[in-house]
Amino acid sequence: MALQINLNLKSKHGLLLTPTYTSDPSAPAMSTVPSQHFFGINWAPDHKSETQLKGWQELIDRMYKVYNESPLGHQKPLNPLVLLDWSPA
Amino acid sequence: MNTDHAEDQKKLFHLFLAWKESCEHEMHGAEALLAASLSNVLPFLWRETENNMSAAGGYDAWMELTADEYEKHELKAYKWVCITLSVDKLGKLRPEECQYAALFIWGGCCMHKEMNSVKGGNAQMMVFWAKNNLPGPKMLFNKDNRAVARLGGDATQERASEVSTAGGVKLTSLAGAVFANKDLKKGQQDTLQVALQDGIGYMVQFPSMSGTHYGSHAEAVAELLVRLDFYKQFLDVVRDLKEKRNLTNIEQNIYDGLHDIPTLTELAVLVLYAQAITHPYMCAVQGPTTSKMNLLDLSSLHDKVMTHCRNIISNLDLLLSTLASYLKGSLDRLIWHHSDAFYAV
Repeated sequence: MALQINLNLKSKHGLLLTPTYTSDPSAPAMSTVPSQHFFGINWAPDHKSETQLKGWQELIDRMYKVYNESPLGHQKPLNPLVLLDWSPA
Repeated sequence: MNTDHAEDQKKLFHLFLAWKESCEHEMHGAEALLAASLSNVLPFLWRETENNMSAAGGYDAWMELTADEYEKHELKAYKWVCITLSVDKLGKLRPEECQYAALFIWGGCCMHKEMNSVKGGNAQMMVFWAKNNLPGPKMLFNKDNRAVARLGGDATQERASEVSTAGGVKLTSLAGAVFANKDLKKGQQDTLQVALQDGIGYMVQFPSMSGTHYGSHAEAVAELLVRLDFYKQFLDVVRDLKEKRNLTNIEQNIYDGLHDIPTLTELAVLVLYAQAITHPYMCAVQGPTTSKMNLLDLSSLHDKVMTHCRNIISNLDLLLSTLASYLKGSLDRLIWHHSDAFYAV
């Protein structure tokens, strides 16, 4: 008897506005370009919306943690709560 | 946020929205907490610490907690204090600031939007006949229900009609199952190819209807209408090739559908919609010039689609008059995607 296993794989990507290579890093507003970013594939226990949200939250927490631990992150720490903040400030 | 239109994705959007709101509250609360004087904050902190202790089962149990659990409780209490404090602060924001704080947009998928418009339109078209007391498309019964409809009493006949379907989309599904079955051993696809070669000089792959393929119904409708006479004759050939000289139930249904004026009318409507709206719209959102297009900029296009639909509804001559042309009939005023199908209508 064959053992049937269903694995849920979640692939994540997002669209970010990133500075172009030609922009001046010291200028207050750098020229940006929309770019697609791949955020990895991982297994998930199921396909529920709650699990999907949790996957995103864990990923974002990890990314912020790594950044904030880095030398650049020590200089300019970022708050993960700002990720979903769209205010023009 | 952009997702497809599946229910789990719609729910995910609401979960994200709630997450954003809680982040927003936490952030404003944290600012308020830092700005507030100690005497204002102290009662909150005191109450939360007490709550934490009672939830853990008293002071002794609280002291027994591991560092991890302790931190988890503290963090939860901190978040709660932030959220409580933020309510005041958010209330003081200017209306436009509030709007930005709450802004979170779900985009959806243009292909699904378009598909839903076809599905919704088709559903309306199916009820149109009965509403206006017109003889609707011929019922396309399955094998069992056809026998019931022929032999049963009034009540059973009615029931058979209720569970059966009719109309253009049903006809294209059946045609797909016979002319392009996914199982190569079923259906008439080989015979069709030979007949096409013989009849019009080349082979045409009938659009596959068995998979979930976007726009496949519109393609199949166009194919059926452009070569309507050929398909009618082809079913005669299919029948004559058989030993018993009869059509199977599904072939009979296609035959009936192709000879039924209301069903053909539905096919015509599907083709016109595909030519006037679907194709130009998909070109506008997914064409070669759209690599830098932002979904958020498409609202004017969507308004244009709706205006064009209304224009057509109020002036059917845009598509139906003998002088109808793509200059006024098509959404993008460019030549029809499938001119043959348009003129066949």
